[in-house]
Amino acid sequence: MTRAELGTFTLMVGVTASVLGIIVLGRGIATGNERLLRLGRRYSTAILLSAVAAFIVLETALYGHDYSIKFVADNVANATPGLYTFTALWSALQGSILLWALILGIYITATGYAFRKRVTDPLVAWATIVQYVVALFFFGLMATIANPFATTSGFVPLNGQGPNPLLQDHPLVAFHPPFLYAGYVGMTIPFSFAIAALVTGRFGEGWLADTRRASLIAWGFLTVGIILGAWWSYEVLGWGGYWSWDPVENASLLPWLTMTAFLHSVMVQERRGMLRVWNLSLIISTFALTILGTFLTRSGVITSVHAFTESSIGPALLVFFAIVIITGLALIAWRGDLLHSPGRIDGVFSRESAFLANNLLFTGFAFVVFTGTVFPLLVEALENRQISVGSPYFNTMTMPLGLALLFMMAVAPILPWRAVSGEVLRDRLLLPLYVGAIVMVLVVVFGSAGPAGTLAYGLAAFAAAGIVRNFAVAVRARRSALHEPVPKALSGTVRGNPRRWGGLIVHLGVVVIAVGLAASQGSATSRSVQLAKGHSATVAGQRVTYLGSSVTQSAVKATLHSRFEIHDGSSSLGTYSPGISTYPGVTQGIATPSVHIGLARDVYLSLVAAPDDSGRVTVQILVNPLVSWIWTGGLVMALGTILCLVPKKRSASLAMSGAQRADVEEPDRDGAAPPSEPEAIPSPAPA
Amino acid sequence: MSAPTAPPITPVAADDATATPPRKRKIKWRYVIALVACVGAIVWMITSLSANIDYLETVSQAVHDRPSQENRELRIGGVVVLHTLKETPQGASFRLGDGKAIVFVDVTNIPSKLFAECAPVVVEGKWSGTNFAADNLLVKHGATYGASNKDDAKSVKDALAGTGCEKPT
Repeated sequence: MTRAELGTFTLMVGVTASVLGIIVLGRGIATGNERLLRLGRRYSTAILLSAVAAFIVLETALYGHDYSIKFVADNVANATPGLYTFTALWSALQGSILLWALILGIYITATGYAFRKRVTDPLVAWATIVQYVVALFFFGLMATIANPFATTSGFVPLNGQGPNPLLQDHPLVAFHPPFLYAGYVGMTIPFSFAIAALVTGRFGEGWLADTRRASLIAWGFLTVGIILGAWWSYEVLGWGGYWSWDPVENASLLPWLTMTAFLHSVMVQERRGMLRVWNLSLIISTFALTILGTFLTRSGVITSVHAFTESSIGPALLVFFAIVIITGLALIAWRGDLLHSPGRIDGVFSRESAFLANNLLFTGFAFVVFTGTVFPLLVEALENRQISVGSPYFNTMTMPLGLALLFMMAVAPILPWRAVSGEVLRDRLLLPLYVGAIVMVLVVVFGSAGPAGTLAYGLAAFAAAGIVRNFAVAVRARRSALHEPVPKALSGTVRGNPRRWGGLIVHLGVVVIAVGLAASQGSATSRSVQLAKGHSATVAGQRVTYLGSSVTQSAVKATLHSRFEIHDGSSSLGTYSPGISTYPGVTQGIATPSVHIGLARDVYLSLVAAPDDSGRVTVQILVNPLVSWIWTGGLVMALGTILCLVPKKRSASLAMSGAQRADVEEPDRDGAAPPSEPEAIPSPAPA
Repeated sequence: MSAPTAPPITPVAADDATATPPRKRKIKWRYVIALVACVGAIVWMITSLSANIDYLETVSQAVHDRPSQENRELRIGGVVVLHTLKETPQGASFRLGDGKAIVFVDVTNIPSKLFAECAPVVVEGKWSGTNFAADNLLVKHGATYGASNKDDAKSVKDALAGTGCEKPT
């Protein structure tokens, strides 16, 4: 058996396991046979193992330079370095689908394990069937039109083509795609449970709580994946930016937006039983948007740095997308009467209406991005002319939405459920409002941020002060109740309701990112200069001196490095060496920027042209303020998400009196009111 | 004395109790405001969208449409013609061809990505007379990248005609 045959065999095992799993579970549900339901779950392991086996076979083929496999011949060369040989697996279409299937296998198996005590529950069985159908689709793609183990036609080459130069230029390529895929693929789990709830008609909030963890994990991975992608773009592409509203960037942002909306509105459903149809729609849209994103990247309909080569899997993905949407809508319509929500929103100034506003903003944001992304495709299909939507559209449309979201982020966490008195509102908002106002005044006096930038800084300060105040009030209350030192009171508070405090830390991360975005978009300086050896140029107070150039030659590429020393005033920030690499057989040179990363500003050097006859080199110097805040904010968001996943510690309720406890509704599933924070206890609804 | 005034009052009171017109109107206004806001947002979005559409055309399409697109932001895709690339103080100038037409391009503010003669590029900018003044330049993947089937390979070959780059790299 050749390696290609072995690989294809593992894919067939995956297809077979998915089909058998669907049949066995389907029969189990139809007959109520518990033995079949137990057996049906086991197929998840078979799916995972076949994906792992296929992954290993393809990796060994890549490392073994087995050019009889077309994918290997197209994506590695003899001289490709080890790391990029490994990452070559997801550097092209077929292998990326394999990575997708592998991650899906992990999710399905992990979910099966988490629900191992409820295998006979029809809800769980239906959800597993949906997961198997998704697995069948992706294994089916690989077994038919996107087989990573397809063999090379004709003679077997002695050397391969190597990955696209851009994909072997920075180690982030090892992290950005897997994180992003872990985000995309994870959306399958909440989707499968949503479909299962619709099919079984069980809309008790149980399934939401059950899949909350999976939703959060997927969302966290997607968040980190998007930010790593921005970082990769910044470090590799050499244009000094991190986000260009490229259709594929948008494709990753869309499910993130709808999932973020869901993570907020789900709390309204848990707490008040409202917004059921809305939440189901958000989950179904999120999953559908991940499939749409896959379609956009892999069908060849768009030209982008991310786009894979044209292929025939586009129609298959489009059909799958249509099936997801139609099934979801049909099920919601069918269950319409059961989905009617019992509650209604009592007051305009309440947590639930804040969540509603937040959701409108997020879906509005998603709608704007979706329209700008899909519009060119529609025009091309209808008029057969190529257009693109410029980034000013996205910037002008999303900026007010972003500012409104910052505002909501400041206000919503302090609103109690149902209704709030003016006095409470004033008490909680006054301090953050002052902080926001002071920051805006300072920005107007000392800065030059423009109206939108000033507003962004003010709102960010408003939100940050609100979050810090939340922590301070809770810690103070706990300290006075239990007489603990500050660190212990803080950790006790957080452990008493990790979901709430984790959520607030995520918000803090968003604030940090917002500041980074506002600063780097608002006041970046860029200049292209020609420098002779020993000469320097000063851009935005940063003096860049050209020291000299050298060429290094490896088997893969020839790289010209030019060394520059950067001075901030009189202090040296070190020597940086941006380069230009040329790869054999590639007409374009790949510029590798070199970045001095700083808390206040980055100095970004990107070589434009090699030294000319007189030895002068052309370099683009960008001084980008606060860009590192974006990556830091991403890290804070990731930490907050991890905290949200920590199980709640029960002992914190000691601090609460019986009377207080009686005031708190459903303390178990309370996303809002930690027992140790007196002010978060909802005020009674007005008569 | 009060008896004659009583009958007219009763129907009014009954109306109030059953139909409650004021509350109904209040709800309606809320919807009207929401509707106006939505329509306004969508109109704004469409306006912004249509103001920011960049047409991507081949060199020959762009040359053909030039009279009607004098002041429009445009993207033109083509191949850098051999022996025409020159450095200028602001950037570079070169001829861009697509096998059917050739246009003179003057690029300023070029990005820090190198491109060479025979590279497939997309230039963004506006017409300045019969020259194209570009303020941005995107380098597409090498011509071999993506030409995975015969049709693509043929269209790549056609696009190279007359640019001096016909020989396969």
